[in-house]
Amino acid sequence: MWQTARRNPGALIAAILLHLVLAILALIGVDWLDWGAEQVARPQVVQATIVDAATLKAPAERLDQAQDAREQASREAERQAAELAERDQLIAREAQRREEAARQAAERERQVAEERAKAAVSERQQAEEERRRQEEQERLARIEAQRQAEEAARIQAEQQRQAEDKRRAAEAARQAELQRQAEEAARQAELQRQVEEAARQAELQRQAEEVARQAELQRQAEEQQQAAETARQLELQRQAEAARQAEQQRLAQEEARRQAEQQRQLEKAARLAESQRQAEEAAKRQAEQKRQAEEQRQAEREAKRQAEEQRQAEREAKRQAEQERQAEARRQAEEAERQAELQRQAEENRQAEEARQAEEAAQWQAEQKRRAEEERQAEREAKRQAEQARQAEARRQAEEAARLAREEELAAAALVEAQSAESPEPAEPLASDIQYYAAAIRNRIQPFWVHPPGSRRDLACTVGVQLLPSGEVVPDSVRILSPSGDLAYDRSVVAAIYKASPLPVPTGRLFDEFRDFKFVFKP
Amino acid sequence: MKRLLFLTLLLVGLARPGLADLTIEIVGGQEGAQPIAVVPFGAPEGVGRTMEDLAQVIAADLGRTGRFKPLPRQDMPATPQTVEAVDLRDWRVLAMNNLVVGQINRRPDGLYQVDFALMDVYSGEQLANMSLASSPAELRYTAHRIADIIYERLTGAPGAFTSRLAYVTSEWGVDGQRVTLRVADADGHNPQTIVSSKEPIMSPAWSPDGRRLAYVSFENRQTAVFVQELATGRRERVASFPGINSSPAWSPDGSRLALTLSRDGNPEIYILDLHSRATTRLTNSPGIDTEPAWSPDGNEIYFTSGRGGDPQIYRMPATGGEATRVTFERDYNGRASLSPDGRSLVLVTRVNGQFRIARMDLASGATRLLSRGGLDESPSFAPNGSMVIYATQSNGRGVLAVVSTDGKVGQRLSQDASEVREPAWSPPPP
Amino acid sequence: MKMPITPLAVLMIATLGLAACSSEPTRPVAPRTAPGGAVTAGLVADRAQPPGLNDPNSPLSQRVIYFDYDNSNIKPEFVEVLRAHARYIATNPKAKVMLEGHTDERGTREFNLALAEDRAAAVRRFMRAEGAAESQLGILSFGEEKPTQPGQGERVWALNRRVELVY
Repeated sequence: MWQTARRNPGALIAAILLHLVLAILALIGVDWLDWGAEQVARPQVVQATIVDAATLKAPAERLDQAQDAREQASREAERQAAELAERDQLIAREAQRREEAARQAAERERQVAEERAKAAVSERQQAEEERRRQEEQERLARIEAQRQAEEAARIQAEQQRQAEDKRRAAEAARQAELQRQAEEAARQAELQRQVEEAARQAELQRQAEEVARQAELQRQAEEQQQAAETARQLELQRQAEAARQAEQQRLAQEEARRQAEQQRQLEKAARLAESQRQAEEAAKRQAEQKRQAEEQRQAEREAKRQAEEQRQAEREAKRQAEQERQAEARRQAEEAERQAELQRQAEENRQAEEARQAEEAAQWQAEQKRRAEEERQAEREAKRQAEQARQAEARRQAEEAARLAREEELAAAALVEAQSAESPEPAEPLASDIQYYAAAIRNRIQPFWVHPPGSRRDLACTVGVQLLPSGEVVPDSVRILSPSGDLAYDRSVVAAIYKASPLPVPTGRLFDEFRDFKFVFKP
Repeated sequence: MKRLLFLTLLLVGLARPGLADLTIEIVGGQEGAQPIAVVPFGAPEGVGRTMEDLAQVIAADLGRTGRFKPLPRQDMPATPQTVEAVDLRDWRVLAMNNLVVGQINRRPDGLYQVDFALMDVYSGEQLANMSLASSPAELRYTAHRIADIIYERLTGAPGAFTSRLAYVTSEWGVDGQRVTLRVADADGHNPQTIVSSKEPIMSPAWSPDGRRLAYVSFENRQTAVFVQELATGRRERVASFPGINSSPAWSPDGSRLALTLSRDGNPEIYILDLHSRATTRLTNSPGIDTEPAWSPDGNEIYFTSGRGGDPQIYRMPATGGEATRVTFERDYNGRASLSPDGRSLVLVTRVNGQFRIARMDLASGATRLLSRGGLDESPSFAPNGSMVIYATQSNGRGVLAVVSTDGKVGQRLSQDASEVREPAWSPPPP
Repeated sequence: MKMPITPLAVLMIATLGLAACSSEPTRPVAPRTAPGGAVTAGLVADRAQPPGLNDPNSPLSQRVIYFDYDNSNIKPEFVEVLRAHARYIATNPKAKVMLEGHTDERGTREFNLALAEDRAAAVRRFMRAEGAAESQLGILSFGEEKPTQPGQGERVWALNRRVELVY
């Protein structure tokens, strides 16, 4: 045996290959083998054998008669067309029913054809098995199988035709009964023709297909057929597999997207922290510059303010003088006196104002220092946040190659971390604190707001404002979000906000609430 | 640097949804004129002293509306004449909203070139930056034009400073009373005599194109309606029927006059076609019908009628038809004048024996008193509808006053010694 | 205000000149502008009067009657005066009288013009009823444009609400 094998290595390889193929078939082909067995057991094939030629002929004759009858009916229909309009609905229903029946018949036919095709396949498989077992009977068996398949198909077709013929005969008979109803008959005729046509075409097609398939069957070698079959099965499996894979891929992509999104969020958090840090740095720098400039300007501005103060006092004095002039004749005598008095008052006011301003300046500087310290802390915090975000990012990148589920878990963890990194302070800003500063801002702005006389009561202007941590209004940041419709009114609103700058704002975390917010101004 | 900071802040702001939810409501504030500084304009060498003070004219124009409060000149910390020379901080310290700078230069062709800029003191934005050519004689008018532009940029409504006023003055001289119809700039400057007489002159009315005046004159001891062309002084007597010829009112298209004639027995409203001189009688009531006024679309005539006993405002189609009563509040309403938008009218009403100017919203019928009263009369809308001019009494003398259409800001117009009455505000200049 | 200044100046001069020649009243203003209380007798002294009118004791010497506020009814105290004038006119076919109506300054000018005309017309109706021919009776309304008295107050207004008979 071994020697024989060594002498014929080709045969050995062939044998091994054959066995492999068989093994694969045994492994994979369970499904279709079962499926094929089912087809073999179908009762239609057995039933088909009891049909004889005579029974086939009779319906054909009846069909011919029916056709004649239909022609008659058609003529009758033309004659009686006028009187049958009122039965349209009934006829339509009937026609629908018949159409449905025809459709069902066609469907049945199609099913039969399919079954026959399946039967043929099973036949082929049987034949193949036969061939392998009994080599000398191989051709005979194949021919037999083919013949049987042919026979079965033919019988099936015959049976089908008979059923069709029967049905047509019955139809014709019913049509004959319905000749009185010309319209219906006409439609029936048409319908019948169509049904017939469809049936005939189906039949023809089926026959053609049958023939083609037979030829095909004959032409193809059994191995090829099986291979094709196997291939189909494989293809089916592969498709299923592909679908599964596609699904998996889709899931994977989705996962990837989710991860990308998470990554983006992480990056955003990092960026945010960075930009915030920069902003605050810049703000701090600016505040510092401003503070220095402010200090430099302080004396100058103070002088100017004092001058303004004095001017106002003088203006006030003048206004009073004007009133007095109107009221009294002795104005000039009193004027000097009053002015002296006013000046003295103004001087007093000025001194008081100076003291107040000095105090205010000191307070302001202390406040600035405190703010700077808080900003530094905030900055440190921001840095820490950025660092955390960066770490999360690094981790994420390291684990990027890891499996999907693992990554998801990690990303989720990173997201949670990022979220926690965004609000590391345990205490959320309290609504009451916000309210407190909102009220302070309101009180600050109100005296600066002078709206045009005669503004309508129903005006409302909404503006957006951006503030620096110092409370100063960011230059050019006041923007009208929804105008009142009165240009002068809107302008007065914008001017009021700038005039009231700097606004009283909280420091630290709470300031974020006032970084960018809205005002609604109503008269 | 600031821009970068702003952008950064903007990014931070955008990246923090939810923070923009904070909205602070500011209710109230004070009502008042908007502070504006009109810096004296630079003038060419040598003529600065004699030249018209444009900044002064502009500031006075704006101040007269009651909507602006010009900064007194002596309070100005600097006098920049160009945008480049402006240090906005100077003006922020003074809480100015806006700043006007400008300069006048002589051109080779003998005209002046007036450059000016209107700035927002806080944003630094140039709300206007223009260059106007002006003849030496027109400088004051140029100032009014600039005021118009400023007013429009700041309020969104056209200004009325280049419009004019017609009014009647009367003076007592050695030879008795002299009545004069005058036309002046909207600030009362530059008065020009249109016609003067020893007999009363009444009811000046501007043609819609602003080129002609219709008025009633008693010369020859008979009322007659004249139409006079302002540019040429040429005039025509268009109505001189027996009885009263009075109360001319131009149709919006300028082709017809509505007027009051009593030629058929008692005063009725007629339409006089200025081309054909044909008259069509509109009203027919046993009482007095007078003081016609056109709706701006020319479809309706508002008039005063005593048909119901007391004088009240009625309205009827300009082509004739049924008159419907418009006023029901109080027992004396007359001398209606429609706003340019046709939505309201001003009238004279009697409240506790005092005659006061009121504005009536035609849609709602609600009236609002605009003047304090006494003997106020002859209300007339500014061409931009923002103000009403009327005649009132001050120390027993007739003077003119303007009031915002809500009655909140009122001012006397500066007047000379003569008694002034019956103001009529011109249509907007073309 | 598009109008150039120079034409305006020309116009001003032109109209001044025009006004000077065209608007000269045909009658002097003085009789109605002289100061005085209720007594107006002296007002007609400088005019050429028909016989009888010059007699200061005649009711014809009273040439002004007064009205209540917002009213054109002839008050009883003036009925005799108007009757005397009507009789005089009826007996002097050549006589002509101009009835000049006035109001006080209250109310709108145009409405007052109409109201003053109504007062003059009321007097004319009365005199026609008393025999004067319509052709002899002219009416003219001045509204509130020609007060006899400047100033305000009921005393002044009462004097200004009037019809003057001008022969």
